[in-house]
Amino acid sequence: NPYAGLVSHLRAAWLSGKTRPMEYRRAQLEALGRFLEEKQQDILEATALDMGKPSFEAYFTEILLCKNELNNTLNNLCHWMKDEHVGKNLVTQLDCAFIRKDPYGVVLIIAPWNYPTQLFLVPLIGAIAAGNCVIVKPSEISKNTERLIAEMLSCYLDNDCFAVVTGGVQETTRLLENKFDYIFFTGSPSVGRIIMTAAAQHLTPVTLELGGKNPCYVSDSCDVQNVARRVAWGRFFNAGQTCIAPDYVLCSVVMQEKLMPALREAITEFYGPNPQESPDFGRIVGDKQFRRVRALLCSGRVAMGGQTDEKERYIAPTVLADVLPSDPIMQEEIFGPILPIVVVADMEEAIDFINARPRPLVVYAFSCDCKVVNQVLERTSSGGFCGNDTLMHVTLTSLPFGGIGNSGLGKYHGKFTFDTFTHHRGCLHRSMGREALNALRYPPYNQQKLGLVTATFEVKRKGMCTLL
Amino acid sequence: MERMQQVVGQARAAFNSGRCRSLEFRMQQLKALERMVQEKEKEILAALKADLHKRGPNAYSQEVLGVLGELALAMDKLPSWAAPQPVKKNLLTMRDEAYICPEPLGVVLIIGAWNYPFVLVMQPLIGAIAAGNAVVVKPSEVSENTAQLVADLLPQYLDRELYPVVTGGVPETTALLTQRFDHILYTGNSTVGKIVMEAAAKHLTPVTLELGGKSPCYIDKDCDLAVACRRITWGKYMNCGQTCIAPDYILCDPSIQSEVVENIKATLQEFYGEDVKSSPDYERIVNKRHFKRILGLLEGQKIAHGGEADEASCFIAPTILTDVSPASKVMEEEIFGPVLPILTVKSVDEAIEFINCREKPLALYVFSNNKKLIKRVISETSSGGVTGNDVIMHFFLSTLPFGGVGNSGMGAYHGKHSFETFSHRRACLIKDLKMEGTNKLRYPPGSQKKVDWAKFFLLKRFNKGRVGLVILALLGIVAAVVAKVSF
Repeated sequence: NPYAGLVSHLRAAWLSGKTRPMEYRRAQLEALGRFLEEKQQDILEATALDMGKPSFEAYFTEILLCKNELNNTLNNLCHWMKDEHVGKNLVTQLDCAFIRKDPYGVVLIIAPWNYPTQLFLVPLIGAIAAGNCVIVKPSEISKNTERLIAEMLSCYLDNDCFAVVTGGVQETTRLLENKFDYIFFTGSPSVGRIIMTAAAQHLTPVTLELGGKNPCYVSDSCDVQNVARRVAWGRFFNAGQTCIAPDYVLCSVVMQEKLMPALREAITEFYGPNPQESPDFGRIVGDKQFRRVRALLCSGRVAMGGQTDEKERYIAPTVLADVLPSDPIMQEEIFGPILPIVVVADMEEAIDFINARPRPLVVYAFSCDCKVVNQVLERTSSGGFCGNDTLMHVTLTSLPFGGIGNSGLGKYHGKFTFDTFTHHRGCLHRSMGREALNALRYPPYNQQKLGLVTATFEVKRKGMCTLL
Repeated sequence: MERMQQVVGQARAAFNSGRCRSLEFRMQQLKALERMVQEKEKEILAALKADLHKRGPNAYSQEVLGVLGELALAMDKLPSWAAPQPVKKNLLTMRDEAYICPEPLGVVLIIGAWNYPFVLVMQPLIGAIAAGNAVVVKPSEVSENTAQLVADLLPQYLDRELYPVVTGGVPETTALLTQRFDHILYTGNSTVGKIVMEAAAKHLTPVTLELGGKSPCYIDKDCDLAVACRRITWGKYMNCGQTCIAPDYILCDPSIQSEVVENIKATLQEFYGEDVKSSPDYERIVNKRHFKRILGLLEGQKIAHGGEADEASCFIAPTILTDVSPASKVMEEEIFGPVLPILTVKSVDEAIEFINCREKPLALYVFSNNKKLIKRVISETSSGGVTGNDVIMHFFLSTLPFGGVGNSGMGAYHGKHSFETFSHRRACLIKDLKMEGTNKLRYPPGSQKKVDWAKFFLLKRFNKGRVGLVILALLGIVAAVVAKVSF
């Protein structure tokens, strides 16, 4: 077990209680803040090398959103850590009852390659804030970021309590042989299953941030140009390599016709006449992924885009029309800059289409009629929902971010990250006195005692006369 | 296998029909459950007596009262629990609707345990129904009378397709676990817990595992021993020790060990009289297998009190062991029986270290007049839950989440926590199709100006002073207008 030494080193640090005081957590979080500040250029360069991420996107998702989470956590840490006092019943009226926020211990964060800094840093912020020791396993596919994290993080964080493990599938498998107190994984559903199975051996709780095909319903009554812009932005951001990207559009044949020129205009507005020359359009992360996405192009008909350049791993912003549910592109999460449009007769058919498939990370619905948006919301199930826009719901740290069913379990962002890495321990602190009151519960039992116990314990429905 | 597919498939079809989503429907089902518990009280108590030798008043207060309480709470609070929860917005989403919508998960599976066979099936069921799910109930086959009763009663009161009961043992449960569920709540031991989680992993099904462990009970020298021992005796020997949160073993200073024993003996006398076997308030071990297992733990131990047993009736007397060695068999597994080992430790530091070298327990107990000491023990250990200066009682406060950590489990329930366990909290952001002006900040082509505006809108560097907020709001509006004009 090659990682046993590392894990037990962290466990020893955990048992020493080092990570528990608020000052310690604050200091480590502030160090992370300095990492973001001082290494900002390196982070941006690494993601540019890894997948040609446009610098505005990289700044927004890898730096800005992380700073946001960090500041939010630092502002609220004291409050989040406090014991949460709870309502009491008659029997416990004079006792102290609270939920204690206990760290889990040694936790593992496995990050993916598409937002390689954000997707390890935001969970890490929560894990540190919650008082844990952490092993971070960045993705080997975004190798420049992986190297940066492995080299730099140890200069900022306490090496007794925080470590980075690099490597691929083999290394991750060996790492998972160890017992962790929590595992936070972002990646694909198939690997998610493997992680959860490994976690089951040690009864380790998990959060799995997975993926799926996020449907985007566009109703007939909408401002087509705005819709096109918002959908195009969400689809082509990071060259489509976003777990919450609108994966495919469902709309009527009439709307499909209207969307075409609008999408064409949006793409030109964003990336100019030749997106390959635009500094604002990204690339596919690796050759294997490039070939996989390229193969999906043979679905429906190419309405715009479709050009590829293997050397650069460039796939043009592409829209496919008249896509059939049986087409290759509808069988897997696209994770690339291709937007298929599947024609449906109406909202009913769209809802049925969505519900016949595994539950996605997010459902999108566009309509000027808020009733339509609400119908889609109420009659479908997904991790999250965004009406009349794409991606934006994850910028609000007060909203939980996570999947359901095949798209994942658990949630994070903002306080939810802190809560994810916290064991909520129910505590009741009674007094040694007032023993006479306890007499009701002791044997020998009789009907009278039972009557009194019932009277004092029972929760009565409101509106019923009660001595309580 | 086919039967399981059919049962679960039917429940899923019933769930997909949408009928269990309305609050009225859920209330109706909960009301029906309440009627069932009230009308069939006699039958429920009879089943508990047959399974565990639990007498009327005891069975009522342990298993029925809590269920009625949870039902009343759920029916009272359901509208507020199920309501969408608006969340705090940032500058960018100021004009939007942002809220968390609690939604049912789908078809959930509840696997009950045999020691409190009624309440451990009913309490999760209440939460699952309240949250709007279809529920497959699998009561423990070990408490066969209660299992049969649940299988008979639920279809008489509840929607038959939505809430089927599946009875059977290991083969039936294994077949059931091959089906896809949207949540599984399992109460039982850690070994089977791992099997349940592994089966769940195949379908990426979230789980709540209410497991067990050895719940330590530290008695400080500075405490009212008579009171402490009475409370411990109550919690330890109720249900003949077959309680997941029973104080499993005692840690105390050697100087008070004999006094602890004397106090417990006195309390046992008070509770069960001279002849425990003939006390109607003392239960029995559930079956011969567990009877033999528990007796086996007594081998080589110093029995300070008790030790008598009668296989025919699965009776084991309330037993106390002293000077127990940490390496002995009785300290290796959860006792789940009326045997109370006492281990001596010289200080609270030693007690804390002892507890921390072992798996995290479901419950932790500490008795002391010194509040600081209690706080210290809580802060320096980990466990599912804690009661200070008493035992068991944190279970009865439904505002406290009830669950384990580490080997003692994951997830929690009771009260609102049940509702949340069986719900998906869906993040919802509803924007306007207009107001495209502010969106232009984020669209390519990128520029430094846009970056600066993005920083302004998003960075939460500002303090929550009210004046600051007003200024911010004004600036936000100005910015939106400027953005619309200049881009």
